[in-house]
Amino acid sequence: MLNKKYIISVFVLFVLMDTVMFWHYFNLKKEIIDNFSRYQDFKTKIEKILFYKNQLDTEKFVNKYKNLCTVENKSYKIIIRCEKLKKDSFKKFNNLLNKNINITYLKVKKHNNTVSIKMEIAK
Amino acid sequence: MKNILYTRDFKENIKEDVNVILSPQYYWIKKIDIPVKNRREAKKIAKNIFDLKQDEYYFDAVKIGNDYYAVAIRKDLNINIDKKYIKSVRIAQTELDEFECINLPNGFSLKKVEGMFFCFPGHSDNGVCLYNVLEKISLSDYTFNIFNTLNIDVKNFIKIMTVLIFIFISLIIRNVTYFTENQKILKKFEYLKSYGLPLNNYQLNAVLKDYETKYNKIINTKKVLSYINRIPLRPGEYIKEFVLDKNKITLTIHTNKKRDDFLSHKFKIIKSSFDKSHHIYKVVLDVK
Repeated sequence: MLNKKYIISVFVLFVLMDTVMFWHYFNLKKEIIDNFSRYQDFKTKIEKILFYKNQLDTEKFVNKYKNLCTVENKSYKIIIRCEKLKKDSFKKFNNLLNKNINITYLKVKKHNNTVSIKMEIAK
Repeated sequence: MKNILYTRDFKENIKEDVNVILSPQYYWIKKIDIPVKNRREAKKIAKNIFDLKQDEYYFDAVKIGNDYYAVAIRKDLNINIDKKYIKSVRIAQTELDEFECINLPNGFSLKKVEGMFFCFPGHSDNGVCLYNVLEKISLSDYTFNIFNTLNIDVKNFIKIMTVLIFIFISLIIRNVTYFTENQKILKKFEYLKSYGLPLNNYQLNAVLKDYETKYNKIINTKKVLSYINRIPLRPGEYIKEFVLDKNKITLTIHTNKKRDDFLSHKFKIIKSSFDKSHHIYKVVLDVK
């Protein structure tokens, strides 16, 4: 024969403690799954961004022509005048454009033996 | 608080808190003759001292003077008083021990025989009146918790509690492990912060989309330039002017021949003209 109040109190206390612990466990498990999937998602996106970032040659290109370059708010303007280039000038220039740069405006004009190139590159 | 002696003829209508003293009609009592160290030991002995069914009786032990007495009370004791008014259940033996004979109002009397109270018919001349007794007695520490007990085996209770404690401990261990794991994941977020990119989905998606658009546009421009570069030109023919503005290309070629066929494979021709006299072919292309 055990004291009813004592038994019930102890039993209820432990059931309550187990419930709280289980609730905590359940929440923690959910949080871990959420955090991990969020981390994986961010990691994948950041890796993609870094990939695209590394693919872009804008800064290298601009640095190469920094003397001819005007920096604007959202773009770089470059004007090149090539006097020695002849009829294959466009092809040569096109090789230059093999770089990954985001050209928003490009004008190549040949006049006699001179080729002028005006371009605008997005930042 | 009022004290009452509960006998078989008790008919009072109780509407206040009371201490119930059971008359000998409601309990069994026996003196424990063997040496006993303490009440707990006496209580264990009490179970075996009576020839009663153990599951039907509540067993206890009390110390009166230097002797221990075993007490047995029925578990299904039917007291005709609302339980909420019963503050304690006691026995006449412990509470009325200082008296030798007590006259009860129902014509009976409680008398001691060999130190133990028994109920006898008729009043005794040397007996004291019950009402006087109940008013002046000081109650002992012995109360019998017969209405607040659970008929559960201690071993079973310990088993249940062991399972609950085991669950509790295993959950604590699990929680600690998960907490540590969670902290490790949060540290990885700190590492991601070192890239200097915003760590929320909305902004990250916007940055990624921006890069993707930019990259796709670059690839597209490169394809356009590559195609323009492949325009078949004979000796003496050359591209005089090339303008790429957003999704539109204006191309001027010094040539003797139109290049509409070649260009229309890849682009939509918006406008084209050919000046035979100056050998100038001009075309406007949509490169969307």
